[in-house]
Parts: sequence; C-alpha cells; structure tokens
Amino acid sequence: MKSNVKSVVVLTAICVVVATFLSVTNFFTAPVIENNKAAAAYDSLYEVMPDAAGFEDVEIPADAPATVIGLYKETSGLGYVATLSTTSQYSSDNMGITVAIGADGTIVGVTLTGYYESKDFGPDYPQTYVGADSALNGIDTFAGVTYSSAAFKGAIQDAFSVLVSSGAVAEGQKSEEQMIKELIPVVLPGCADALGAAQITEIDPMGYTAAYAANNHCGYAVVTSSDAGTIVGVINAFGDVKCYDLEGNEVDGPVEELKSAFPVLAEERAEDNLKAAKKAVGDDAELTPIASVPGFGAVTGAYEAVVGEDAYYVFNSITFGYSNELMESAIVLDAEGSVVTYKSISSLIVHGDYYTEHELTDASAYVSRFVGVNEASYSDDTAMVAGATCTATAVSDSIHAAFNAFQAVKEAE
Amino acid sequence: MNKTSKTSIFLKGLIKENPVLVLILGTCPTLATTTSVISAIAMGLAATAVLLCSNMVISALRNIIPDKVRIPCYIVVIAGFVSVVQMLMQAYLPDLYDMLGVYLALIVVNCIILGRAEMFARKNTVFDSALDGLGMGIGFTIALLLMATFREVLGNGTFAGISIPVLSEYNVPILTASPGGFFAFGCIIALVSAITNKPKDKIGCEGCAAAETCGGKCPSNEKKEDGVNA
Repeated sequence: MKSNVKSVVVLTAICVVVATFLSVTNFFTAPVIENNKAAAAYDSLYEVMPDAAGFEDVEIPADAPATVIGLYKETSGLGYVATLSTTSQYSSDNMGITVAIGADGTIVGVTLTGYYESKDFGPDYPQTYVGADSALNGIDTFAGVTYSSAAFKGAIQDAFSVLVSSGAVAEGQKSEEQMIKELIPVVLPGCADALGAAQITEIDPMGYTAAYAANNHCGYAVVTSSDAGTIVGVINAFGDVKCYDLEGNEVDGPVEELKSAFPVLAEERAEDNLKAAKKAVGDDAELTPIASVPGFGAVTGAYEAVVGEDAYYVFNSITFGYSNELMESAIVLDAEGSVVTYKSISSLIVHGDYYTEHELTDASAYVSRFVGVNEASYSDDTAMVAGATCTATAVSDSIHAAFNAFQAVKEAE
Repeated sequence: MNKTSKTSIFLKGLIKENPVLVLILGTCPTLATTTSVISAIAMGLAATAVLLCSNMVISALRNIIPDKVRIPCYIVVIAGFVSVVQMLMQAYLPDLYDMLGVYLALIVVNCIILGRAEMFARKNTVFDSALDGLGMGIGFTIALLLMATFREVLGNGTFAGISIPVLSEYNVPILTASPGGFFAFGCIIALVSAITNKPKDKIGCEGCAAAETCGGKCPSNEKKEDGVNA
C-alpha cells in the first residue's frame, strides 16, 4: 500500500514538474513560433504574386469558411492573396495553401505551404490551377490522392467564394459540361461517392445528347435539350424520372420518353436482388418486389417480405467503399422502420495489408451494431470504425438509403 | 570510477557499442531521416540533446523513482524533453523543424533513449550518465551521418544539398528510397562489424555488445531470475 502511494506521488510529481517546464518553454517560444508562421505566410504571398508592391490585410467576413485564415489585397491593384488551412479525410494533418487571385478573377499563383503526409500529390498538381477562374473548369481531383486533392480543391473554392461574395473579383462562368458534372450527384445522390463526385459511366445516349449509367446501378442521368435549354433527366432504379435545368430547378421534360428509353434497373437486377434479399431475410420468406420506390438514392431493389405472420421490408443497395469499390448490401427493416438485419453481400473486409487485423474482419460483430436502430436513433457514428473510414461510410450510406426508401414507400402508400 | 573508465563510458557509444550500428537500436529514424545529410545531422543532434538531458534527469532521480513505475516516469521525462526540443526547433530552427516533420516527435519512442535510461542511467551517477548520453548521442549522429552520406551522395549525387559533378548525373536513386536505406544500413553494419571484430561465435549475453555495461543483468534476464518471465 505504502509503495503504491509512493509510486503515485512520484509519478504525479514528475508529471507536474515536466508540465511546468513545458509551460515555461511554451511561454517563451509560442510568440516566436507565431511570428515565424506569420512571416512564412507573408513570404508565401510574394511567392505566389512575385510582382506585388506590397500587401494590406483584408478583414475576413464573419460568414467566411473556416479554411480561409488570411486575406490580403495587393496594394497596386494586381489582385488578392488568400492563405488557407484545411484537412482531408485521409489525414488530420493541416494542409496550408497560399493562392493568388488576379484582378481579372483568375488564379495567378498557388503554393502548398505545409503538408507533411507521406502520400501527397506533389508540386505539379497545384500548378494546374493557375489560370483558372472561380468555376475551376476542367480541374479535377488527383487520381490516387483523391482525399487530399479534394480538400485542396475545396479550399481554393472557399477562397473564391469569399472574394466573389464580397465583390472583390468577378465570378467565373462555368462551362455547361462543368455544370452538368456538378448537377448529376445532386439530383441523383445515389451515384455520389464519399467526396460527392458522381461515379458514372457514359453509355449509348439513345438519341439524347448524352447518357450516363451510375456505376452502382442506382439509375441513369440523361442530358437533353428543350426549348428552355439543356436539361438533365434522372431515372432511378425503379424507372421514376425527374428533370432539372442546369441551375438544379425541377422542370417539365420528356419524362415518359425517358421512362421507356432506358431499362428499369431493378428489373434487370431482379435475380441478384432477390438472392441478396433472401440472404438477408432468410429462404423461408415470401418476397414480393416493390415496383416503385420514389427517391434517387443508392437503393437498387426493394421487397415486401412476409415471414410467418411478420411483415418486413428488404432494401438492396450498392454504395462506394474503399477506392470506390462497390459494396452491395441488403437491409431488412420491420414495419416500424427499425433495422432487423444488415447483410453485407460484398465482403466487408477491405483489401490491403493495413486492414488485415481490423475490427471489420469480424463482420458479424460489426453488423450487430445496427440491429434495432431506426432513422431517428441512427447516426453515422454507429457505423464508424476508425481506420476503415471508407468502408464504414459506405455501410452508413447504404443504411441511410434504406431508411430514405422506407420513408418514401410509406408515404407513397 | 577512474578517469580512464569515464573516457571509455564516453567512447563506447561511438563505435564499440554504437547504438545504431552495433546495438541495432533506433532503426526507424535512421532509415527515415538519412535521405539527406542535413536532416540526418539535425535528427542526430536533436536526439543527442534529449538523450543527454533525459539520462541526467533519470540518473538524478534513480533513487526516488519506484521500480514499478520507472518506465512511465522515464517516458514522461523523455517526452518532456522531446517537446522542449520540438518547441525550440520550431521557434528558432523552423526549416529544420519542417524537414524532420513527424520524426522529431517520434524521438519519444526512440529505443536508444529509453534503452540508455533503463540500461545505464538508472544504475549510474549523473556525470557518468551524461557521458554515456553524450557518447551514445554522438555515436547515433555519426551513424546517421554515415548512412546519409552514403545515400545522398550515391543516390542523389549531392552532399548536404550541394551538387557533386558526375555523380549528380550518374546516381542510383533507389538508395534514397526505403530499399536503398535497408541496403545502406546492411552495408555499414557489416563494415563496422568487420572493423570491430565482434565475436560471431557467441550468442546471448556473451555475444551482446552491451554485456560489459549491464554485466549480464539486463532487464530481460532480471525478469527471468525473478520468475516473472519464466
């Protein structure tokens, strides 16, 4: 007992002394570190705008995104420079960016001031932004470093949003192709990956301007023209159609034509959907396909199931996991909308050495987390597993899709 | 302890018990920071500072720290010094701080530092522990410098960032990558082993370069004798 007390006292005393020592050091070094950071940020202003005569601070609007940490106006009117700090889903390490935007609203220089991840996109990727305006036409994420480059792109967009909304620079005009690319994941959210980008493949347009099939079989997006201009029609897996203009407003369009032009995906995948549903609810269940599920989520099939005297709903969904690998699942909900079974049809074990000893290798323990939860009690944290974010996000997306589909089916009834 | 033995305490870390090339400790930072001579020297000096200070403090507290909490106490002390070095470098040597990145913080888990605390500082006087820390730190720095010179000169054709004629055009880039690091590490260990004529027919305590220091009473043996690890 006495020795235990001594151990606690000594360890505590050492911690207190070390903490005090650190506080004193921090007291003297913190201001110097802050000055260094400020000086480094200021150096980077000239790096991205070498001809600048000088800079003056511009107050950052209160509603500006948190990524914008500094805003400077070049004193001779060459333009503005923004210093940015962001993090990606891949790493919590801060990414520092300095971007110069000329008076004409285009990027004249950009540099990465801090990012120490082993896996980054190198010095060339930021230079692809030079010359782009706020529309960032033709600039994509960097293959293989998707999360970091998406964070980079997002931060640049934030810088533009502050300058454009304050009237400092003119807004760039997005190309029609860019607008369509941005619109599709909004109006057909089931095809969007974790970063919000549409995972689609161009297919035979069947006489329309262009047509795309969602890689996860949740629907189609069709580009066509009308008197009002270009419109985008989306078709879900059950053949429901909606049409939008390029601003994202729902408009009248060739709904019936589109319905008949493209095959109903839920019917095409009926055999696979049925197998998956039976795996989830059991072979004894009597399954009746639901012909129409409103909504444009990741649901690819739906069934009413009867087991004995109990009635259930089964929703098939396909979402995007690690490296956008397709993750198929079937979710059984009871009549009240609570999860009875979450059945992963694809393997939950993500390929790669990093995950070999992961919690997700015990799939049965993992999926038991979802039993009994409903739309109100479910949160993304329920599915989350640190270190397997992509897979867990895909699982969570499929559960959200099932809840949304259940709600839509109930409302339709 | 006489004057000669104090000299030997200091000198043994340089070659005979070199922490990297003989005791094979601190391999991770050795491989990670030896792609350039500058980062190798910076890492070596930072680790030396932490090693010297932590050895002295741990030695000074050796009669106060209870045996059962000695490892947490050592870690707190080491982490404290590493944080101080980090703050000082970030404030006064920001370029080097950026160059070392995460490996500076990882000095906390460098085996050499905890190893010297456990093997030497907890059993010896403050002055001897300071000599040991300094010797081991300089030995660590020399090892990193050797590795970095080998890798940067042959792998990148530069020395401390200065271009070397001919080699800058005809170099072996893989030496600056991980496989090249292991290759250089192996070559230098072999060279040092050949120079020091380390006996190769002895295993266990007798064959250990640190046997003279711990006298066969290294922590693993002590546990076995106590029956803890039997």
